[in-house]
Amino acid sequence: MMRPLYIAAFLVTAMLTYGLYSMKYEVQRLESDLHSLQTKLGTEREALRVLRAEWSYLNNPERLQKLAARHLVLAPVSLHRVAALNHLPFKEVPSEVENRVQVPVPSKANPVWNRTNVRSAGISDGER
Amino acid sequence: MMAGSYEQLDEQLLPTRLAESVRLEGVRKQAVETSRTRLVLVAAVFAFAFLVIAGRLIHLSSISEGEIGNLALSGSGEIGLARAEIVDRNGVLLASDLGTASLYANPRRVLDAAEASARISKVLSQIDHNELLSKLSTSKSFVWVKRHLTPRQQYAVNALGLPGFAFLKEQKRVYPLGGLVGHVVGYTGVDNRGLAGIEKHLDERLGAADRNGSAQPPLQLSVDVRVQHILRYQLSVAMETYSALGAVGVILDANSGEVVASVSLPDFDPNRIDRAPDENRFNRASLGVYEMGSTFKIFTLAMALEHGTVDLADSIDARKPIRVARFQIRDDHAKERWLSVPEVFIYSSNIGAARMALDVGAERQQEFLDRIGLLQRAPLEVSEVGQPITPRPWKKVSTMTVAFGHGIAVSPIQMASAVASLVNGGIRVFPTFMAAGAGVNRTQERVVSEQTSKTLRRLLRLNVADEDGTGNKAEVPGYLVGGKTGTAEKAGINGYRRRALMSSFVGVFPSTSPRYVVLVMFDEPKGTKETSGYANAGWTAAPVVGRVIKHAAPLLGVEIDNSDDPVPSEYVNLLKKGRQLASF
Repeated sequence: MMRPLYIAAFLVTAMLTYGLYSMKYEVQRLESDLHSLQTKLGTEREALRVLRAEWSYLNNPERLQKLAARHLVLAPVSLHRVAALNHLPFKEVPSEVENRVQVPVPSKANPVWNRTNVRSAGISDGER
Repeated sequence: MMAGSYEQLDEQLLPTRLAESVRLEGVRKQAVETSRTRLVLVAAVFAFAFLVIAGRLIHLSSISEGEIGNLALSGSGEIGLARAEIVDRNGVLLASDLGTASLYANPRRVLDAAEASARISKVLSQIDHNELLSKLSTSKSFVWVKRHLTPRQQYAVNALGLPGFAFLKEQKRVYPLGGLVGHVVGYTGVDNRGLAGIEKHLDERLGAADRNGSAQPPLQLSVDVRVQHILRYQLSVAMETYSALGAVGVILDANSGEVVASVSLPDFDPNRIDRAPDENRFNRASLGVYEMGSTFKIFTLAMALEHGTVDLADSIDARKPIRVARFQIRDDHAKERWLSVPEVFIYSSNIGAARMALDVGAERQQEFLDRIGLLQRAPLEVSEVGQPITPRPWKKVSTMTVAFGHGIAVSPIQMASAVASLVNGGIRVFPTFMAAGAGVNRTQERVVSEQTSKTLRRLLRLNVADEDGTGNKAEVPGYLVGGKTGTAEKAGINGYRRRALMSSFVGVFPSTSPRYVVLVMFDEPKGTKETSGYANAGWTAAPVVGRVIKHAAPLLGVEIDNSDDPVPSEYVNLLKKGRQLASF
């Protein structure tokens, strides 16, 4: 009468033991995986730091200035070349062009080519 | 399980008990009863233990994923030893830790000390053969041979294959930009503890790893390395031209107090701090305190305007030098007449400033200077901050000399922040090296009224815009530079030395609504042919400020503006004619 129970208990125990055993090894494997990944991560982080330091070193403004002076024909922008957009004179836009273009074109009638104009034009286009 | 054991127990015990109960009573029965109770007790204990284990198993298998993630991260402790990085306001790396190898030896395991030290010293040029030999001849089990080898050196030592030598991985602080921000960032010692600058002042913040063992987030400074370079470059060129002993440059955000650039020349490379002389390690911008000279007239004027003791239309008697006690206060380029208030400012009249200060009075003067932060140490995040030197006791003559910046010494950064507080609309700023947003204490503490601030800005602008103004060499068209020169004689053993000057210029731009304050100062500049032999601030410091603003303003995002608004120069010219006609 008790035999099936014993056999069942034995089987369950065996299964659990095996389960535990394999679980343990799985965990050990994962742990070594984790460890090697962390080591790799550490190495990569270290490499990243070295590269960041090197990037900063190579971008030293002092060095860039020397290089620019040697290789480029550029000079600092002189102030008379800088102007605000609304100080620029606008070309006359022929009426046929204006009729075809969907967005507002800067012109004497509409001198300030600002973002709100463009944006509102874009929205109305989309709604149409 | 528990029920099962019970049944088993009963089945085993029952026949015995039945059989024995017939024959036996008393002692035997009692023994059986006792053992039975004990068995039940043992079973209960086991059952409890199994329950606990089962519970723990369930708990472990139902652990949330986030916690596992944390467990995985917490293991990455090997990088936790690094100090936090320091970056500039745009994220450019200023200081970082790199892993290096340090060579050590175990003398007990070194086979032939003489040969080993000979071969090591051949590979590492800095190592002295005899010194190493004596180290290796001890009976210790650990001696450093050399800290922080370069990868090439490490390879070379490895290639020797000497027994008893090994490497230890260490962190070494590196400063990729070298001397560019040396004075601000500071440096660390061989054990990576901060010894100067921000590295020292914020050593705990930079050094301590958080509880997960990972390094602290980078520390962001207010400094912009591009602007810093422009300032440093222009200063070093000018310092050479004028054969000056030293130079200081500060660029400060006029509204937040952030120090965008801070240069003190001569400076040092924090990577090679052992080679820097003490003179170079001295931070003139924050630790040095100097008698600023005429730039203090900005404060005198602001104070007088704020207290209403003068207004722009007033004029002041500057005909004759003032005699106080054994001192005589005179003007450098004396006009020997009555001067309007704007004239006192742009001709930089000591007599006029002294009279203005007397009208305000010593007490209110001290209170005012204290309010803009000139009488106390500036709250900076570097370990080198100079204590201002103030007159004690504050006599009448002190009031007069302080009015034109003598008898009081403050640090250049402090000076710049005081000017910023006055011109930005009158709100006190505290200088800081931390990028805004990182817990900078901003106040709404008003030091002067909006109106005073505006008048001051227009006067500063006049001083640069007017061709008679002492600061006109700082003019950069489109940026509305305003400013004030200051030429102070350095104090020597026998009073002031006339030939040894501290020439400075405080500039503000754009003066309609100032965004930045620029201070430049030279220590003992000499006149050159280009400056017509003059070494004073108008000829030395002012043009440098102009050049710095010209190059830095586009980077700082200041737009060109032509809406100029100085005090009308009629204030200057009208009086020039009018008073002379009136035969004063």
